[in-house]
Amino acid sequence: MLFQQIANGIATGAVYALTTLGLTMVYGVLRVLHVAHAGIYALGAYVGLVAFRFLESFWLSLLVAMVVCAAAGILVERFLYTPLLHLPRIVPLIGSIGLFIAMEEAFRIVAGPYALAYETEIRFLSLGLGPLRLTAPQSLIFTVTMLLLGLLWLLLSRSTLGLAMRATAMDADTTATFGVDTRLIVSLTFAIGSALAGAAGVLIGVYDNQVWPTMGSIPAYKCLAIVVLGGLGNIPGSVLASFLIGLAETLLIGVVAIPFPRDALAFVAMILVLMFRPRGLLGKG
Amino acid sequence: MALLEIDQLTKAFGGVTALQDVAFEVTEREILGIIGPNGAGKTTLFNCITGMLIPDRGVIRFRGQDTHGRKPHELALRGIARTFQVVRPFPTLSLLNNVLVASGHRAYPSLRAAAAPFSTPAAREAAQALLARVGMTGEFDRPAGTLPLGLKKRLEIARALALDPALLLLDEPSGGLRHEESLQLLELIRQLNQEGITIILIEHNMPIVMGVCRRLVVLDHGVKIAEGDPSAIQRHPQVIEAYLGKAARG
Amino acid sequence: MLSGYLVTVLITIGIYIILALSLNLITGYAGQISLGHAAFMGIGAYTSALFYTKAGLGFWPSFLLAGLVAGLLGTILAIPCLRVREDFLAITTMGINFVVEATFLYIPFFGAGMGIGGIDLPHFFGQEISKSGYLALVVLVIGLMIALDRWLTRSWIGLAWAAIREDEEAAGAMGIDVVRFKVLAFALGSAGAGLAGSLYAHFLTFIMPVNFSFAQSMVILSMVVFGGIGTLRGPIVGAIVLGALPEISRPAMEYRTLVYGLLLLLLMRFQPGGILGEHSLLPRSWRKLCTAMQNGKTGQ
Repeated sequence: MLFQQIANGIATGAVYALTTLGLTMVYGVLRVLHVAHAGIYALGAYVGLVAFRFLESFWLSLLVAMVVCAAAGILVERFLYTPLLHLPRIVPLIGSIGLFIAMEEAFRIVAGPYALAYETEIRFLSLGLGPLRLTAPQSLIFTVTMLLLGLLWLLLSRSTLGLAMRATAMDADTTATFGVDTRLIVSLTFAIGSALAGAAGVLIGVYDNQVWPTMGSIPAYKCLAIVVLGGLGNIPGSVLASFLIGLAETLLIGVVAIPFPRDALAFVAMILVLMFRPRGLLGKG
Repeated sequence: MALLEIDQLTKAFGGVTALQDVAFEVTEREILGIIGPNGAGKTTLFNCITGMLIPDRGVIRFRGQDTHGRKPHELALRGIARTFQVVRPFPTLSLLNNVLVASGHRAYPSLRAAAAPFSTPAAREAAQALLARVGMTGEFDRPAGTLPLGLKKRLEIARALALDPALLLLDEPSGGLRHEESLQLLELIRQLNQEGITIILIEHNMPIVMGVCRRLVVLDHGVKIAEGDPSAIQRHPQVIEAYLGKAARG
Repeated sequence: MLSGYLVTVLITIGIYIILALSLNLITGYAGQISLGHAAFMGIGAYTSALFYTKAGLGFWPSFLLAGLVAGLLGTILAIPCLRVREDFLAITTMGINFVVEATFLYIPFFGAGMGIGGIDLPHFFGQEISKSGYLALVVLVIGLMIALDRWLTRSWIGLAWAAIREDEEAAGAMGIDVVRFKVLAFALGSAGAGLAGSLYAHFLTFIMPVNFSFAQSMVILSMVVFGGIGTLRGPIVGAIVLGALPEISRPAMEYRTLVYGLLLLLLMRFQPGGILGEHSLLPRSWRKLCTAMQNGKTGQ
C-alpha cells in the first residue's frame, strides 16, 4: 500500500515536472505567467489521441503531439506575449487566462464535452526497486520523463543553443549585444517548453485512459504554484518541487488521509515556503 | 557639528565587497563630493545612508542617532532626501503629482491627515514653485515618463526638495546634461546649500565637483582612499593611480 | 415595473460592480495584483450567513460584520503577500483563494460541500423587502463605493498608492510607508468584497464554496481589466458588459464561454488599457470628437 502510493507519487511528480519545466523555462525568458500552458498540455493530449488512432503507434503519436504543441507554443509567444512585453504584467496574464478559457471551450465544442477514451495497450517493462514497483504505465511515464529531462539537461548544459537560452533567461539585452538572436531563442524556448507540456498531456491521457476538455484546469494553476515553490524560473527547483508535491499529495492524502483537498496542498506548501523564503525553495536572494 | 557620521561601514554582495570599513563625517551646511571610478561603491553608500540597503557592519548616525534598521521612509521623514543615478520619476503621474507625492510626507504618518485631499491650491502652488525653482516651466500636467532625461533629473531634484530635507544626496545629477545645463545645476546646488541644506554629491563631472565641493571623499573598490580639499585630492598619488590606472587598463 | 428576471440580472450585475470597484482599490490604484478576490467575497458571504442563520443576528448586523471580518482577514492575509512581489504576489493571492475555498469545503462548521442555506432577504419594518427594494440597497452600496473611490483617489492615500504602483522603492524614498499603505489597500478592498459577499448570500439565500472559487476571482478581475483598470468608470462598465454577457448571449449558449475567453484575449492584445482606459481607442476618439466639435463651433 505504502509502496504503491510512493509509485503513484513518483508518476504524478514526473508529469508535474514535465509540465512545470515548460512553464518555468518560459517564465525565465519572458517573465510571463503562462496560464495557457495548460491549454497546450490538453492540446497535446488531444493531438496525441487523434494521431494514435491514425498511426497506431504510441511513440509516433507522442512525437506528433510534441511537434504540434511546439508550433502552438511559438504562435502564442509571437502573437500574444511578445507584443505585450512592455506592458504591466497583468496584461499578458489576463490575455493568457482568456486564451486558456477559449482553448478549453474550443476542445469542448470540437471534441465534445465528455471524456474520450484513450485506448492503448501499453506494452512496456515494469520498473522496480526492491519492494517499490511501478506499473507499466507508471514506468512509461517515469522513463519518458527521465529521458526528456536528460535531453533537456544535455541541451541546456552542453550545447551552444543551451548556453544562449540560459544567457537570454538571465539578461536578454546583454545577450543580444553578443550577436545572439534573442527573439529566436525566446521562440525556441517556447517551442521546447510547449513540446514538454504536450508530452505531459499525452502521458496523462495514456495513464488515465482518457482525454477531456477541462483536463488542463487544475494543472493550469497548480503548476504555477509548483513553479513558484521551486523558485520562479529555476529549472532544478521546478523539478524538485514537482516530485515533492507529487509525493506529498499521494502520501499525505492517500496514506495519512489528512482531510484536505489534494489540489490545494501545493498552494499551502507554496504559501508556507514563501513566508520563509520569499523567492521559493531554490530561488536566489 | 556633524550632521552625518559614518564609521566602519561595510557591505558585501555575495562575496563581492562593495564597501569596506568606510568612515567619514559630513558637517552641517557643507557640500561633500564623493568621487571614484565606476564600481567604487558610491551608489551602495547612498543606498546604505537612505536605508535601502542594510549594511553588514558599521554605524551610520544622522543627527547623532543610529539609523540602523530604519526603513527608507522613516529616514526620508527625518530629512534625508535623494535622487537616483538612473532617474526614477513616477512615469504615468504628472510632473506636479510627482512633486506632490513627496510633499505628502507631512500627511502620510497619520491616516487622518492622509485621508485629506492632496491637490489643494496651496499644495499645488508650493509644488509649482519647486518645479520653477529647478528651472522647469510649461506643462506641469504632462506625464513624467514623457520628459527628456535632463528634465527628469531636474524633476527628481524638485521631488527631493519637497521633502524639506536637511541632507540631500545627489547621485550624478549632471549625467546626461548639456554644458549650460550643468552650469545651471551648479548654481542651483550652491543656492540650495546657502539656504541651509547639507549636500552629498556623487559626480563624475570634475568641473562641477571642483566648483562646488569644499571637501571630497574618494572611494576605490569600496575603500576610502583619500579625503580632503579638492586641490589636495587632485595631487593625491593614490587617487591619480585609481583613475589613471583604470584608464590605462581599460 | 421591472420584471422579476430583469431585477435579478440587475442585482447580480450590481454585486459585481461592488466587487470590481473594491478589487480596483487593490489592483488598480495600489497596483497589487490580486487573483484571489473571491476569497474575501466568500469570507463576507459565510460570515453573514453564519451570523444570520446560527447566531440569529438580523440582516443589518450580519451585513456590517461581513465587511468587518473580510476586512480584518484581508489585513491578516496581506501579511504573506507583503513579503512577495509582482508575480510571486499574484500566485500567493491565487493560493489564498484555493485555501479559503478548501476551508469552506472541508470544515463541517462551514457546511462543507452542502454549503449554507436558509439565508433570507433582509426585513424592513417587519416585512421582507421586495427584490426591487433589494436592488435599491445594492445601488446604495454602489453609490457608497463610488464615493469612497472618489474620496480616496483625491486624497494623499490615493497619491501614495499611485506612487507605490509606479515604483515601490522610489515611493519609500519619498516618505511613504509602503507596507502600511499596501495593507490599507488590501483591508479596504477586502472589506468591500465582504459587503458584496453578504449581499450575494442574502440574495441567493443559499451559498456553496464553489461560488467563491478562483474562477470567480478571474471573473471579477476580468471585469476590472476589461473596462479599464485604475479608473472609476472602467470596473463599472466592465462589470455591466461582462455581467450582462451571459444573459445577452443566452441564444448562443453553446459558444458564450468561448466568446468570453476570446474577448479577454483580443482585448488584452489590442486594447490593453481596457475599453475605457485612459489611452484606449474609445475615450481617445471621444475626446477627439469633442475637440473637433468645439473647433467647429468656434470656427463658425
